[in-house]
Amino acid sequence: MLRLAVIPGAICGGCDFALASLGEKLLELLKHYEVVYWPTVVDRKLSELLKLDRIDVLIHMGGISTEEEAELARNISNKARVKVSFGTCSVYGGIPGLNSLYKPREVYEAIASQVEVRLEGDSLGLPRPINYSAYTDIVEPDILAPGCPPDDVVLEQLLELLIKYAETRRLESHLVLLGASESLCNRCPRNPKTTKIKMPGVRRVFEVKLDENKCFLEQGVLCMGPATRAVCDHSCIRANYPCTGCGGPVKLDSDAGLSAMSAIASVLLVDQEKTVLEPGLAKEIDKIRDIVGSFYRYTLRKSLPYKLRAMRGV
Amino acid sequence: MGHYKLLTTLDPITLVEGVARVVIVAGDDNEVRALYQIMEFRGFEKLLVGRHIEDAPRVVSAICGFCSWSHHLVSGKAVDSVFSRSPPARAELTRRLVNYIQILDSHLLHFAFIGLPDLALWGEGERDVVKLLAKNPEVASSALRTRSVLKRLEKRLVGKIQHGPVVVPGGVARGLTREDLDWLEKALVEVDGAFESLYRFFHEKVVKSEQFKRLVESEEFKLRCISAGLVRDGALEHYDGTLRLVDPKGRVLYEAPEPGRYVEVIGEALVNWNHSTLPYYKPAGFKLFSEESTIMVGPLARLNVVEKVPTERASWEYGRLLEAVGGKPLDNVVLYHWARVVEIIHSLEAIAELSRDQRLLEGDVVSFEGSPTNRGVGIIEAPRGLLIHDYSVREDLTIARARIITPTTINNMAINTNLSRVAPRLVKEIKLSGRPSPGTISIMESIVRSYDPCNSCATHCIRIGRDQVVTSFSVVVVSESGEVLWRG
Repeated sequence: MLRLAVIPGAICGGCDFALASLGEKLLELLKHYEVVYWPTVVDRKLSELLKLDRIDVLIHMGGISTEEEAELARNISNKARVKVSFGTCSVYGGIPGLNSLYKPREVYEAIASQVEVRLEGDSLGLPRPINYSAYTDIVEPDILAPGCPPDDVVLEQLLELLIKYAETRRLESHLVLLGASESLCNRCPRNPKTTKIKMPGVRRVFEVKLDENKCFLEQGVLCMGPATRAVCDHSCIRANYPCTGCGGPVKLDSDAGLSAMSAIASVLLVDQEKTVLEPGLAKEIDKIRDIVGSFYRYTLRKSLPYKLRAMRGV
Repeated sequence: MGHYKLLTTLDPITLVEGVARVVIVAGDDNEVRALYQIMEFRGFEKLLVGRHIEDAPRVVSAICGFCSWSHHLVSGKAVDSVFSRSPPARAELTRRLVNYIQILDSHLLHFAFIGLPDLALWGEGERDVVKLLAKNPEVASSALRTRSVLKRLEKRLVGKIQHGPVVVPGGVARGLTREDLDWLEKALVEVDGAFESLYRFFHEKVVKSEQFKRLVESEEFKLRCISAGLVRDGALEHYDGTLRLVDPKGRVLYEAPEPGRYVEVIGEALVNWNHSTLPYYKPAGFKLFSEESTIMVGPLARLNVVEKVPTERASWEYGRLLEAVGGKPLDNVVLYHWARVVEIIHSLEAIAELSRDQRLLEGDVVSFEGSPTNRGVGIIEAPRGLLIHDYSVREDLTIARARIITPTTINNMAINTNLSRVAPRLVKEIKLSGRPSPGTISIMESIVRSYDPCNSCATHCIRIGRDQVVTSFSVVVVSESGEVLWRG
């Protein structure tokens, strides 16, 4: 039996849930692997895991928010033959990565300023928060499984890879990004492939009754589909809600937000450019009051704006 | 208060969602106490600032993967309130249905994968579903079956199992169809069937066992504090009701239908040893380890605040529970498991009733009537208890301030008070034999698991500790003079 450890960083539990929900397919995986650690599911203490000198497969979930999480992630990764970065927080930082713009102290003040009672005293070994990062910022993984949480498309690819690894004891390539190498928009059931998309302006979701069949961009609603890797079966779009980009960029090294902005710019008022001119376009773009949350909701930690900011030492 | 000497740590607590541990401390008064530390750090209050208000329900859903729909729905209610919109009947019923499915799913998951192993494998070392699977394959396979059926259903109704989209301001994104309800009906039959065997196992192997009786009588599991929950006409309510607080004797202390008034009774304290705040009963002031300052929420608290359970089979099970323990108040936290069973049955019945409601298929899915205001508060019963989202917005309808109080955060005080009953025994055992007995550790873990704490939820808020960095999870016992007595 090979050893499988599931290590949580800063998690919401959705990734645990997605993996545990595999049900019978998970049992198939467990024919090859002994779960030596998975705190949400298996009653084994970390001290036992730390005694092991070898882990075959490590699945890391969540981002890194404390020294303790970073230390554990590094420690176990050093012993692991195959490292899987599981879920968008682990791969790209995810939604908690929106706090990348702030120092831990600023994040703390947002809550501290609202409580009725503040008490000083010993921290009793409470892990110290550090600047938030993705797992992939501190460890280079072999397999990246994006999604918030990873959808069946990705889970099945992962299971297949892990079972194959158990049988052959080798991986065919390194830094494998799961999902399909194209944008969600490319395969969208609503995508009017025969005509060019025309975005009639910018409408915020509270302003429109969402049409269940029409391309969201054609309804004026921001949709990250054009810049998001196809890691799902359009689950949100089928539920009549635009893609918010949880699958991350189409290619690992591209900037999801910039790609999305470029896609929007190319379709916004495309048939009226000559009449509305620049001021007309600017007026529409100004309706997007939250650039970060709209375009970088899951990938801010990996974005060009973040990197530039970090380079300036902000 | 607030100055403690660290005696030992017990970590991590397994089989709870998120990362947590228990630390045993001696206070200024030399009393030995236990503190439940939640160790993650995320900070949703900050990352919500600047977001489009209509995006809040999707963003906050990532607070918790286990009850993502609860955060999504309560945020939707707060956003409705910002826009002064009342969702049409079709949307309201869809949201209710989704909330019941969330409660059913979460409770079944905890009951089958955490509660049953914890109670049925008492005294057998590792108490997890893997072992339960080996010892009782039919029970474990029923548990797995409910998961796969509910997973398919959730995917059908909402697109994604976690973090899926349901609400938009004033309604829902999509109206359900006849086919959806047909799916629902079939899924219900399957879940009902699978739950039946879990239910029988619970009553025959757990409730009737001597061990369970001992736990129910144990003082260590008792907590006589304030219970809080929503009620509708005095009955159990999970989506939209009146906030009610009752004292340990069952007397109503407070009742208010307007969600924004929660600040009259619930305050939050921040301490240096936790990444989660400690909400408390405001009129009593913040007193750590004091039952009069402690509020308990969740299935057990909900049964304490209601006069009745409004569906037939669940009402019968509720009666059976009360009869077994001699009536209210329900003040032993091991009964959380049984209360969860009552609510599983209630959810199954409520979902069945909703699935026959024609209004789910007719009419508008969203209402645009109403003008934006600058604040919106939503309260809902999440599986683990009362969940509050409170937003202030700017003129451009982006978020200026967000306050989120989750059930696990509220139960933080209760868990600490409960654990502190066991702490002196643990320390005594370490002093006598160099290590705590497995029985004592089991009790502490069971107390924590009874509440079904969701540490992911609790760490939407954060705390910066001091410079001390912990790089090891080992259990360390330190004497009061600072000498390391035992490490294991």
